[in-house]
Amino acid sequence: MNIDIGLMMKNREQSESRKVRRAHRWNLLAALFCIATVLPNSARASGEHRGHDEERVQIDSAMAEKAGIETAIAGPGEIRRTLTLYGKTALAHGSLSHVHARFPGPIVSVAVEIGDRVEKGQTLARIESNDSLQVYPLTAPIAGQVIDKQASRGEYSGERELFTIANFDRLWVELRVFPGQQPEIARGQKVTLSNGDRQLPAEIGNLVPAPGGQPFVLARAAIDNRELGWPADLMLEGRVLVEKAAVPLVVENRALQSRHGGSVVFVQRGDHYEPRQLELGRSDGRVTEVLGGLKAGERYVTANSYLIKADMEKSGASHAH
Amino acid sequence: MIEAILRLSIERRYLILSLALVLIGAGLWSYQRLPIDAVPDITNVQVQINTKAPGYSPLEAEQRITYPVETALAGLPNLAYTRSLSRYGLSQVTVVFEEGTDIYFARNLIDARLGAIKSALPPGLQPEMGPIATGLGEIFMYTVEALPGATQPDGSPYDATALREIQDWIIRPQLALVPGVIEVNTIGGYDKQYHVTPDPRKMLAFGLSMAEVTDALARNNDNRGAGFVESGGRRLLVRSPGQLQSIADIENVVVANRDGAPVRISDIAGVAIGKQLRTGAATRDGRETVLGTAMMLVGENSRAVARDVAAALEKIKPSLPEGVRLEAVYDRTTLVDKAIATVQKNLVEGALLVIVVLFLLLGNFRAALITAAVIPLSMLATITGMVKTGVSANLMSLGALDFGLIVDGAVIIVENAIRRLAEAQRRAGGTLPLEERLELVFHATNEVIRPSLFGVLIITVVYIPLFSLTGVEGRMFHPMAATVVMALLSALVLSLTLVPAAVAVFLTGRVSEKENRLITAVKSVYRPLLLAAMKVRWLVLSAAMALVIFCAWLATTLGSEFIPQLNEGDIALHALRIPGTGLEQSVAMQELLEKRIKEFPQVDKVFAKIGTPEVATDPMPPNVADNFVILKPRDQWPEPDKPRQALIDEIEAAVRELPGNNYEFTQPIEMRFNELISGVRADLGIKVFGDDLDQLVASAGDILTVLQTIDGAADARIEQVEGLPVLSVVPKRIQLARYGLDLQTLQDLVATAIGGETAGLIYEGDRRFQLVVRLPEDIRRDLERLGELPVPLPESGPSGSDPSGSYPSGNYVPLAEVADLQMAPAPNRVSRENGKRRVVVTANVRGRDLGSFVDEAEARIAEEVQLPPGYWLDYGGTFEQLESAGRRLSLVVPVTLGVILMLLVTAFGSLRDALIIFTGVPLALTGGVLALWLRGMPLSISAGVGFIALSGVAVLNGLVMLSFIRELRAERRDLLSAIVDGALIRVRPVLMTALVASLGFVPMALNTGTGAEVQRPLATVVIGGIISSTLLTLFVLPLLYRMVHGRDRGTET
Repeated sequence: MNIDIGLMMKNREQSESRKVRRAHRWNLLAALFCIATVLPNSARASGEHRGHDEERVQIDSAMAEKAGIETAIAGPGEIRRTLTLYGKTALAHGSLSHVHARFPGPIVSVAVEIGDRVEKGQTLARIESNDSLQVYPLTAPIAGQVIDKQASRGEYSGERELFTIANFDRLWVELRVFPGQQPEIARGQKVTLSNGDRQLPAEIGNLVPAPGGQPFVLARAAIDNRELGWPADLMLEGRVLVEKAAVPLVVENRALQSRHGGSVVFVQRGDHYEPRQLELGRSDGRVTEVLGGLKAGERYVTANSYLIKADMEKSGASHAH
Repeated sequence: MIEAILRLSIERRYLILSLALVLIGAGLWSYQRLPIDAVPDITNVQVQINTKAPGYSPLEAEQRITYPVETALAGLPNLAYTRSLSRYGLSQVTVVFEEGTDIYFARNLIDARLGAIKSALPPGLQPEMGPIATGLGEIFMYTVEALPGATQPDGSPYDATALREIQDWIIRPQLALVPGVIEVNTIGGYDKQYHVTPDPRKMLAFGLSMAEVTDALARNNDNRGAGFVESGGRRLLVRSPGQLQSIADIENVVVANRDGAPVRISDIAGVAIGKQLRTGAATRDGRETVLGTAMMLVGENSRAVARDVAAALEKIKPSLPEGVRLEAVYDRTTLVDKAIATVQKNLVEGALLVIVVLFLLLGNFRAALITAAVIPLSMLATITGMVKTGVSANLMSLGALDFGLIVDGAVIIVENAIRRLAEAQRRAGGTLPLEERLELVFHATNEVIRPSLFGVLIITVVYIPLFSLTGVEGRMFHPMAATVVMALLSALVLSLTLVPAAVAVFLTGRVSEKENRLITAVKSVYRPLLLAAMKVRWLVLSAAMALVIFCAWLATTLGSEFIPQLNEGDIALHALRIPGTGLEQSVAMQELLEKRIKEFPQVDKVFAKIGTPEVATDPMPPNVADNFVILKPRDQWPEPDKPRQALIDEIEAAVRELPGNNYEFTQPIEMRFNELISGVRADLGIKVFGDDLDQLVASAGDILTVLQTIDGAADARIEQVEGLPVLSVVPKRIQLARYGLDLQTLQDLVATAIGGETAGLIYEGDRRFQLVVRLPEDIRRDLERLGELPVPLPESGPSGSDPSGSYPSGNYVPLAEVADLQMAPAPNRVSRENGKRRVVVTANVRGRDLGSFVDEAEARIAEEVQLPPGYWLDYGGTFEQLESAGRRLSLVVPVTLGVILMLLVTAFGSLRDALIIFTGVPLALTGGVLALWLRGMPLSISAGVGFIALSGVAVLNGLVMLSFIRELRAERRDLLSAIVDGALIRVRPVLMTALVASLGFVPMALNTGTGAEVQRPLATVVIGGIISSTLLTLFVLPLLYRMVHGRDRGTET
């Protein structure tokens, strides 16, 4: 249909006006006959105008049920607002150790391979000191996993880094908090981390500025990685619970409809539904806090609230402007 | 000359008879080629140019597509006007040409212009012309459905996507081959697509952007031919296949290389068969379905094409997968057959009645047959003429044919011939010799040929004003006028040639001319009555005057309707929801609506199209649905004789209970016509033209305020342009620069994420499906979290300068950081006309004369509304058509009357006699008005055509009567006896022409079949009018003649 809705919404009135128009046109045709009868607007059905209260619609309960209109009673609820951040895992401070030979000299033997787990104090290699010509053990300063090894038997150790040991038992997750998000994020907030398959609860431990003049700050949360076995530099999604508040009055989000530039819910009274302009507060993905316009205990439309809006405005459309 | 023709016809009578055979042959041959339809085609000469622009909002569609297209079309030859509509994802420009422009010529011109502007349009957009069809084009509709429990080969039940695939790749290609079908349009279901849905987190992890994913898919999906080599005497073709064929193939496409490890699609995204972002849906009996519409090429025979499509459908059925049901839901053949059956029944019954009357009154079987033979012959000649002039056979064009009128000329000739023959035989006491007989036939014919020729000519002439109608009315009534004129002219030629020839050939032997009892009785009553009337002539005349005045008054009380409503049998209704309603919501409301309608026992099927179909022949927004309610045959109704309007009222009352819908009831073909013509449908339409939409709406508001204060204004309103909720992602330019992004990167990301981007095609044999990259549905729909969508940042980071670098892992910025998300209503459509934006304010006028209302409105608006420079108004609407039709008719009607008078004067050589005959016209009309009043019918154009025919008959009657009186008077010089004898002799032909003309219409007046509503008023008027006209011809005319010529004599002597 290629007619704009405004023109079409007039239904009854239009058919009536068409009749009138026909009457007009007929006038011209009357000239066809030499009889000098001019046919003025002749009898036409007087159009009934459906009186419709724009701000209230009536739908009986059987019809409402058929149409899938559901209602709920407004009451207290809980707002759980979350914010999604992205960031990477990083090793905890002190969990990475670069092991050098204390006294340079040839490496006599190597005890570990990359990937081996080592305990603190465990011998990694034996080196003969150039100074004392004594063979001494090179031990692990921390417990962890050998992740890099630059030492083979017979090599000269020099001053270089021989082993890298990292401890993954505890990881920090560094989530990026951009300027627009910073007011929302604070220490101690709960965060749900996810790598797509697994979800992990954690808590934001601290906020530090990002290195290198980046515009964001890092929200850091420590996680126990012993079970997970996540690597460092793993991209994670963190859903931060920025607000959790019990509020006295909430409505479901699907109940909200926009009308006259504001938000409304439709309150049911018997078979009648009327819009209530609401003053809204905080909102999460499910419910929204109501600050004014609705009282606790009132029954409002949840599912298919759009139908009520549509019904209200279909009659309003012909009255528009 | 007439004498020469007559003489030739009688002398070469066998030649003339054999020429009739030629006529029969030509008629039968033409009949095979006659386009048959139910209603006349009232579509103007128009071409739709549709450009699909997925993702374009109304404003962008207007700016980028509509404007260049419109501009390119300016100045086309024969261009009447252009109008356009820009909506979400669609630009439609409708080009209307002058009446009579060849559609193929017009399309060629447009094609050339479109080719020239291709580079001015955004890449990838292709303007296409709509199918070469008119409002009658949608002749056949069918649904594709799965039976309950039916499963696809892989065991899953058939869903809307699978059914759509069957429609697109099995049914549609076969139906498109049916001759006469120009387009098979599809609505409903989902176009099958392969969807790659990247997870934003995984993309970040690998440092990939949407563009890289799209690009990788596009680059890894092609077959390439590599020429050939000759080796060992043979030719060896070389090719490199690489097309993706399955979901597994797609998953294995490598997007990037991270430290030597390939990153495949499956590492970052899900791949599945998904649903397109559709703009239209279809439902049937409360369930979603796939609906196909076969459209007929303009000028084809709709009955034949619809029948062929139905046959093709039957052939397709066996080739469908098990459990899929293909069912015709709308077939034009049904309607056409019904309409044609109505017309046929009326014509055949009318013809039979005419023959019976002729036989009874002439008392001579042969003579009756000769007269009756004119009926089929002129019919065949008319058909030939219709084919030649491209008029289709339909309710309107055949509706006004009355065989009674057609044979009038022949009746007069034959009647006179047998009267003279019988007289001569009585005198001679036996049969006449050939020479003498031929001579007698010639004289008898010649005696009355002039009045009968003039009579038929006059009837023909009165139809001429119908030709001056233009626009919809013109297209509706031209075929009717053309057919009647052709039929009358061919009858005229026949009565000049074939009738005398046949009389000469067949009326041999004893001519039995029994003044049968009826006529004798009539005459014995008529004579004293006439004499009595002569005595109280002033009384009779004033009674006649009073009758005319009374009927003129009565006519004003009748009520009126303009265009007759052809009953199509089925019901169509628009279900309207508020602008901005989504398709899914609309479908849900539609399902409820259809279930309610289906509860009516009279309803066979109900189905609907919601939104815009594949080929945007009807660009509805998703909040509007075209519903078709197909009714069961009446004998299956609980109350078979329930009036249709009562049923519609009941349905309307029932569906008004449903929340959220508004309705407009119409009929399938009527609906289509309205869609295509789509002008301003109110009495007064004030179009505000200008550039800025807000200013246009504001000015329109001012005008509305003024209009509403004018006396007589009703239903004043502004065309609704606002009301589409839009979420705008407004880039923050400084922030973008801060993060090293540019505008396009951001917009591409948003477009791909929400709308999806096509990355190529997946081929399955002939079938091809789009490969689309789009965010997963759960993320895409979660608008609250749209601001948190990560935008990957290029390598160079915040301070960098080269945004085209790679995207290091994990470097991102949330969308809300670089763009503002705003929810605001936006124009839901932009309408333009003749290359400028416009907003229309419409009003109807009640209880006041339209012309003065328009004058006052113009004056007040000019005074009170200040339009900014560059904005202007245009006054249109029905009043405009009324004015132009009025001007035209006020010229044509007097001219026509003048021509008739001239013909009469030529026939009699006396202005006074001509005027006397003219008085028969208002007298005849009185009967028509009374008949309408008795049957409770309103005045309509159909009735108007009846009045036209009536005027002709009245003049003919008067002519026959008067010419004889004049002849007798010339012989006798005694006025009174000449008048009385002349009138008595002419009683029979006058009664006969009147009887045949009115009886020919009796079946039409009583018929209740499909399409009868058009013919009924016409027939009613003619029957009523002829009765009054005959009475008045028999009494008032002789009276008047005596008064006029009596005074003559008085002054002479």
